[in-house]
Amino acid sequence: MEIFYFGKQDSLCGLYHPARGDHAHGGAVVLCGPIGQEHIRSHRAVLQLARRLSRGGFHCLRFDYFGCGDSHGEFVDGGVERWLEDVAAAVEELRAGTATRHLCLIGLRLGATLAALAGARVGLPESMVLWDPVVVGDAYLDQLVRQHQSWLEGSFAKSAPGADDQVEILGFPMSGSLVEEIKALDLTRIAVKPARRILVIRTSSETNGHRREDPAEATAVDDLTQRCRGLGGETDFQHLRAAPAWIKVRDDPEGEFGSRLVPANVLDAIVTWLKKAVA
Amino acid sequence: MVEESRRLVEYPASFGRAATLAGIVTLPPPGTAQRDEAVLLLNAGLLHRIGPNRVYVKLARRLAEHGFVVMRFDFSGIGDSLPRTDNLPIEQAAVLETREAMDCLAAGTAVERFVLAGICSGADVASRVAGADPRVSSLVLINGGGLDAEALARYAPTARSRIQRRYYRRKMFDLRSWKRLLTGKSHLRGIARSMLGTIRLGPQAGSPTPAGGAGAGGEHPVDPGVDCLFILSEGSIALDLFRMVMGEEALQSKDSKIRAEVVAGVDHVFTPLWSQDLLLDRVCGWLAARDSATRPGSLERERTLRSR
Repeated sequence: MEIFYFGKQDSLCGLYHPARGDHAHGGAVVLCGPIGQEHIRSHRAVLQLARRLSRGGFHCLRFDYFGCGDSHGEFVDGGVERWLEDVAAAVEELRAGTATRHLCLIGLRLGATLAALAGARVGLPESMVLWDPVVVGDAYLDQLVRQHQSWLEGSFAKSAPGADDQVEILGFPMSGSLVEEIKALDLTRIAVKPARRILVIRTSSETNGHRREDPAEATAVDDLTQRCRGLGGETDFQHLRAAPAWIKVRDDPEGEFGSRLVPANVLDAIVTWLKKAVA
Repeated sequence: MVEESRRLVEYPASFGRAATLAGIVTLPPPGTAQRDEAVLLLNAGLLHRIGPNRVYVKLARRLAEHGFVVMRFDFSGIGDSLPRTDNLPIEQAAVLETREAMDCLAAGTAVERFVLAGICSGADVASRVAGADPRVSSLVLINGGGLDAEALARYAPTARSRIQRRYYRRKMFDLRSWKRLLTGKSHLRGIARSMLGTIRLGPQAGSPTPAGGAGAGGEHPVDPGVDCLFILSEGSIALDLFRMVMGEEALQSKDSKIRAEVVAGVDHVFTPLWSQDLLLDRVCGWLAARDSATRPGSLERERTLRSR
């Protein structure tokens, strides 16, 4: 794996995993991760996915959006439009550095949303995996606010009034403009198919026999799947049982920094599907 | 935004015996005088090098503005660093790898002295390295007691019950908590249980209360040859551990070599944005204000370490 900086003013941190297995298929993958706290919590899962893809013969590029991870900038200066440019820059970087015949974008949570929206900008990728995509921005923001409040209620932390034009979500500042951009997101109304072949993955977990999932979110993901099919994208759907790798878990038995969840079945499903897609 | 991007100088570093450890080095912006000390930021638990709430990135860039070369990196098996293949116990590996990070920076920047900073387990590692390497000049221990696993096991049960009492005492006077309790929305039991998991406590077996109670631990978790800043959140069990090991009076100490600061209204990982700003201010302020003339030279510390 190689870490490097690329993009506008070399401001984006990229992590390149070269193809290690049989690369005869010419597949290359750009991984679009989540943002904010979800980015931190899912880091290990996304890293493990990249390693598996690399072993499967895919060139793989992970990267941090502007204002996220090791990239330049403050989170509060990030925004959907800027991050879409970043996805395009990552695709360009991967294409320039590898003999790519089959481009795939894989996105998790808001990263899936960005991948879906970026598809048309980067010349219609051959394939795309949307893993628990954020389909409706408004609902996503509500979810984050609830998680933030729940976190604070069970801790000693006191919130304080912040800047007027930003909201605070689980340790990260969201600007008013980012909030508006996210609110406006609705993948069920996407106008063009994001890729030639698409895999939509929805996960849910079970605790003591009770399924833990948000019914509205599940419906939205189903609607997105139908929308992709309606737009002519060859679309597969998989519902898998897995705990969310991206949530800051309070009741983690290993503590706040506890088990960094790596849902192996989801990673396997993605790699298997992608290998078939490039065959 | 553009201005910040233009001035920021960061580059990736691969180091360690097989170059399998991953880090990011931040240099002082062009035109800023470089100090003769570098800062290493050590992983907080299993979180990768950007730290909880990305606070290590903010801290690295702020410290660079003060003239420090800073490196945040991942220990083997964490973040983007590969796992070791030699079965070295993780406590020893963390010390070794921190020293390798120092070697890497010393070779690239001609810096010879180092400040080690870390949250939670990062603080534990920092204090262990200080006892083993004379190049360490200062420590910034954030919500970590600098205790080894044995001491943690000894003190943890009492510290746990103390933070539990502090939490319930605080909630007793919180109107919103009563409202939630009376409307059936409170999950106090679960919250208290999970809150206690906010710090790596080490082995749980057989852990008596230290004889004599608070302040009677009699253990000094920090090498006396280094300057040390403890930053302790009200919501961290590290505060209770500190009180038990160092004594209540240590919190009030005006000693310039070992200073402790308690931050009220903050959780273990500095989730509120205001507390992140405060953390940055405290760390940068303390490091920048130290009088280099009062710090012991490497040779003097080396003699001390060898004489043990």
